Amino acid sequence: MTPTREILWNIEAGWLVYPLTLAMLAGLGYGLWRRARVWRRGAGTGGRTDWQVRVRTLLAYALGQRRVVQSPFAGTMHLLLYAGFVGLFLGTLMVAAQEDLRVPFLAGGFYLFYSLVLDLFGGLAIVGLLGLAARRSLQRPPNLEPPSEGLSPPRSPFDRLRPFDRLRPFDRLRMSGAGSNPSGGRTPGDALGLALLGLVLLSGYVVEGLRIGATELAQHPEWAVWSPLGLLVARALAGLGLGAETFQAWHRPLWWLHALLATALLGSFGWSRLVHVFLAPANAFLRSSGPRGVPRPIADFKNPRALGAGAFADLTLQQRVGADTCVQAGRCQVHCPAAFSGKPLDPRQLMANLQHLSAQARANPDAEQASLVERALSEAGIWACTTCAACITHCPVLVEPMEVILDLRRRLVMGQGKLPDSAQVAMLNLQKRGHPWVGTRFSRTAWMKGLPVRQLSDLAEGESVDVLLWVGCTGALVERNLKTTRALAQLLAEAGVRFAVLGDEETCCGDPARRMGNEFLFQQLAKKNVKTLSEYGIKRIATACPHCFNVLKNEYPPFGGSYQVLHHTELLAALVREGRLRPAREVQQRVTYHDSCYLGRYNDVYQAPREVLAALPGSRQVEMPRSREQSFCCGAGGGHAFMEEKSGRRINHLRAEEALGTGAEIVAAACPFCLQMFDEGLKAQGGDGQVQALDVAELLAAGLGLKG
Amino acid sequence: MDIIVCVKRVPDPEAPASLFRVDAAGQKLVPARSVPRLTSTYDESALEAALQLRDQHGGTITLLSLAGEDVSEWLQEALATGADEAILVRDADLAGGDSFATAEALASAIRRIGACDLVLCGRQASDTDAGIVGPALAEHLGLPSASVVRKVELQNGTLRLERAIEDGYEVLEIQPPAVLTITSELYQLRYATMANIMAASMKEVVVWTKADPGLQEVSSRIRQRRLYQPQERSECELVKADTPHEAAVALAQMLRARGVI
Amino acid sequence: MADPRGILVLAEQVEGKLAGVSLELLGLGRRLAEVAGEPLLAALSGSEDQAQELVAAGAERVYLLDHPGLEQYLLETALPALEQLAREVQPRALLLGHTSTGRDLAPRLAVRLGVGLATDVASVTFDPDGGALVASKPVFGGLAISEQSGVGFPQLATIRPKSQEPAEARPDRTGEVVRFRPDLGQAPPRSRVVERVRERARARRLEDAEIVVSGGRGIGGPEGFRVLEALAEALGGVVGASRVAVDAGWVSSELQVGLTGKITSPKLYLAVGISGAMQHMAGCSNARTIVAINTDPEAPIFEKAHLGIVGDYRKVVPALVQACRELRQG
Repeated sequence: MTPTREILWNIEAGWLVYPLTLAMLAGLGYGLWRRARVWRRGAGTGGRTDWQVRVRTLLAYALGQRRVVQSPFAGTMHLLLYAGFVGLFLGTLMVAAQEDLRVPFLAGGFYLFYSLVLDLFGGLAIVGLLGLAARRSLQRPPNLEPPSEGLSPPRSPFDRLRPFDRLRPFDRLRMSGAGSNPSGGRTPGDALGLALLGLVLLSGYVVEGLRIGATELAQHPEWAVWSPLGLLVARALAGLGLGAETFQAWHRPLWWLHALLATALLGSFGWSRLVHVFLAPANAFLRSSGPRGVPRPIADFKNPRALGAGAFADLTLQQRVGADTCVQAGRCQVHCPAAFSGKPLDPRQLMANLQHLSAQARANPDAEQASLVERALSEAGIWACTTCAACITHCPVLVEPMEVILDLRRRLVMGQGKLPDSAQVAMLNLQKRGHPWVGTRFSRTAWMKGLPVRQLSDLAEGESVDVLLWVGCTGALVERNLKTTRALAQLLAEAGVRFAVLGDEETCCGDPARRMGNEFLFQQLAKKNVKTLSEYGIKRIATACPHCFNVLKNEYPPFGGSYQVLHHTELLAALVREGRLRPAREVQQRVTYHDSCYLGRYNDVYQAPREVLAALPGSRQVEMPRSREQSFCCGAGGGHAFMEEKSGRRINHLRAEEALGTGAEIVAAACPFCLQMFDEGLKAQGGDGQVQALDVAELLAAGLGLKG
Repeated sequence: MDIIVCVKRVPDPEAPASLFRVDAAGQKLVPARSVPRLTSTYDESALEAALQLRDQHGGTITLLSLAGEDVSEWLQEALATGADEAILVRDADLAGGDSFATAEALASAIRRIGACDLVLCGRQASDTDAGIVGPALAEHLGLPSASVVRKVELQNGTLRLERAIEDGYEVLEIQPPAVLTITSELYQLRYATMANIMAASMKEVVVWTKADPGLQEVSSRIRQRRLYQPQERSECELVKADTPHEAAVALAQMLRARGVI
Repeated sequence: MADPRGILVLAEQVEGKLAGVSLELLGLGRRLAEVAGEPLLAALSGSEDQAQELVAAGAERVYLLDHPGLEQYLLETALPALEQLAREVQPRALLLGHTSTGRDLAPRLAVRLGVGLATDVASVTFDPDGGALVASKPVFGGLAISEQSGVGFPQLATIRPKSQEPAEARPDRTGEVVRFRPDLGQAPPRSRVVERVRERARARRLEDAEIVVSGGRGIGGPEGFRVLEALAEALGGVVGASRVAVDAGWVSSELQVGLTGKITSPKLYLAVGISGAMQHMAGCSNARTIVAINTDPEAPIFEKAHLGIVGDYRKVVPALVQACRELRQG
């Protein structure tokens, strides 16, 4: 007899499955539609519409679970659960196809194979489910804990996604808001959802076991082995002394129970966190296909509602979908330098608050008008963000808390003129003098003293250069950073690169203005720079500052400026590779490289600086526990070079501790802000005697014997 | 209250000294092109004082400036913190004189503007550091004045103000209209919101010249013989002494000699 | 009309005491008078005794401004009084202190008299060719020095306090004291002084302080700041701190000077036990005079300071307090 099984065996009124399915679809549809009403009240951002890119994102991140698996243990368990359910779902579809289309393809060898695969997938789902349940209830990973519990050393040997061991605990975070939950990321709803999933799986196997027990155990044992788990259940039940009639009797109600549970589960997705099954792909699709970390464009400054976000009503479509998509994984919390150092900012809590407000908005559209400040995030929390993009990089469902925070900042600054005093001083200086470094005694050309560096305005008619060296405000006006600029200029000259600088014609790239919420000032500066650059016909730019690098490369094109932009480590790495720079001096020290946020997470430049460092003879590179995408911010971003941290521990001190922990004698960085932060941090942690913070260019220049 | 605030655009007083050169005639300090041009520091305080008075009592704020070149763009930006209108007296002759000439020119402009309750100036301009225009202006207008005012309020139609004196402050009451020169202690110019910036960009700066009625010739009374840049002493002068006590005494005397204490 | 003659100095008094600037003006006035060969005169709204003090300090004639409306300084009455005196005496030069009074009076007086004015003058010489005063005053916050003369007589100038050697009192000097009664008219005053409030300099904001005494890591603890407070008191300044001292909890964060703290622009900034890192210097680089006291001769602060002592503040500062007190009294 051909191996097969009778679909709907033992089931009377099997046609009820159809209304049940309709009910399930209705429930699912309604659940999604209620949410969609809130989403659709948000304006779309009208970003680029490359749907091919979006589909690829969807495939890679949603179907491919690319971010999810970055957390090895949780990621694997989720992958099992996800794959398992996808498999079971497809299997059920095949059954429905056979039944409705009357095509008996589930027969013979294929059927046996099908049985095996489905059993295994179901088993995987169970393993995944148990793993995840055990993780959140027994292991209590820090990303699910409310931040006030502090972040303790990793408990699981599997998760490398953990803070390093030597962190000292800090004060309780004073972060609350509309969606406050003393249990952090773990809610009763989560437990219920997991339980329901488990019951569906369990009931499925029990039903299968009963069926096998009644139809195959005795009659076709050679078929039954192809459903190993079902067979196990059947044998176990048989071992209890149950006979075929009992199996059959129990099978029917339990089959309906399983059907009802599955219907209830799927139909209620819209009301639980399981909605992420649909929203994660949608969110991945809706995510901007542009460069990372760019806040939404503002064109009309006359419209006060367009100036960032003040209330839920101001959130865009993408931000609203994002709020509903958040699964409270808490990876943003674990990686956020503000949360980690005890500031009243926890991105996970922020998204929880937004989720709560989204639910309120579903019930009452007028609730959208209430201010987000304090309800979603306090003012202190809004200013605590260093824009390091860790939350954006690590979120498994591609939600972007940082974008919301920047929008909140924009409303405070442009709409109300409210910003911390020291930020205001820097901003006003930027407005008046074209740089944020209050009190500098340098001019933009002072660093050039004694070096044969030429300004673009000095070039003869028709003369051109290979590359414009964009010095940046910090590299020209802050004493410590002049050394880097000089080293870089000497390296370029040594390598025979024809370059020039803008000198006094350079004005701030605008990054501090944009990140501190003053989009208007940013656009003024950007337009001014684009004008200057196009007057000189500049095509190729190199800069030592990752903030300038990021802005020139990724954020100037909408203002008419399109250039090939290199970070100085990329240029230096190329020169070393080509043999135009050959460091010969030995560096008999251990070097640890700090990945800057704007170079690494924003622009994926991780390898070039390491290449340059590796070219230094005798150098030994040692990585910090958190490096590359997981690199821990130095604390200067988001305008924090100009603001004081008011609570918790200093971010740069934490990072300096981490660097000191590697035992390296040199901390290498490729960002002028990071260097300032390390200088202060190493000194504060008592390491300034033995450990030095140096730019990659300075190290390379030393390796070539070039004197500053 | 209708308030007129006199504002002046100056080269950035905090720019490095190396970016300034005395011209060939030895009369003017010429800043490099890259030196930003800003509102004179104390004028910003005067503007904030006006804004606070208007917040409390309503009325209008008119910015008034005298310049030899077209500074309309700067004046329009100055409107962004919330002043209502701006008038630029643009005339190289009128602007080319000394503080007394400036005071005369501003006085005639103010007469042309018409009645006002209060004229506010910064206590001294960041370039001339003279502190003459405010009181001289009051004299030409025949109005009471007070200088180095650190706080001004309107109470029952009277101006009640705090004037900084050597070891504290004195409280004065003056019947408006009056001219006050403002010092910065309590008046930090507020941050401009987008709404105000946008509103300002819609406004036109009114430009007057010597040809306009009411604006007459002015005369200078200060003859500058020479302008020079002092030698920049870049070395730190270390006090040489055998004992800490002697070093302290020597330091005190050096500070006295520099007129610092 | 007679030729202008004499150097007239406006002396000030507060609550019965002659202001120190009065003696400085007389010191300057005497030097100018000697060069010009003309008498040294003084004007004062005060008492006979104070007038005698001015005589002892070198004034050959003191005009005692006598009018009930002049008992307390009020611009509205002082201005016409001084104008009338100037027209009566017709001095070659009229010198005031660049004080709150001088700032108030001098510009308006110049307009009334139809003459020029140099303000905040640090040094004055007499030009025998023409008989004018040549005043040197800093402009652009000190970036340049302008040498100026006013047109007409009297030559008017306000003199920067503490820039001139004060005249020494010699009790054997003699001179006239003349009562001058100005006619201040009958019109009711449009202004009045409600009260005068003395404030301790410490109550002033750091950003507005003229003198700041700032401590950093080298202070070592909160007790060390008591010493700095004494110095601030002696100088009439306020106390500031670097971020290190604030972080260590030695002083409150209100006192933090620096890029992320307060930006100061005093005429004197004393950096005690401060290394001179950029973030701190951003808060004080505009100071006219920076003095560094530090045990480490290599500290970067010595590159930024105008004057410095390499030494232990615990020994230097108390001595400095004493020296300053003596100088201020003298």
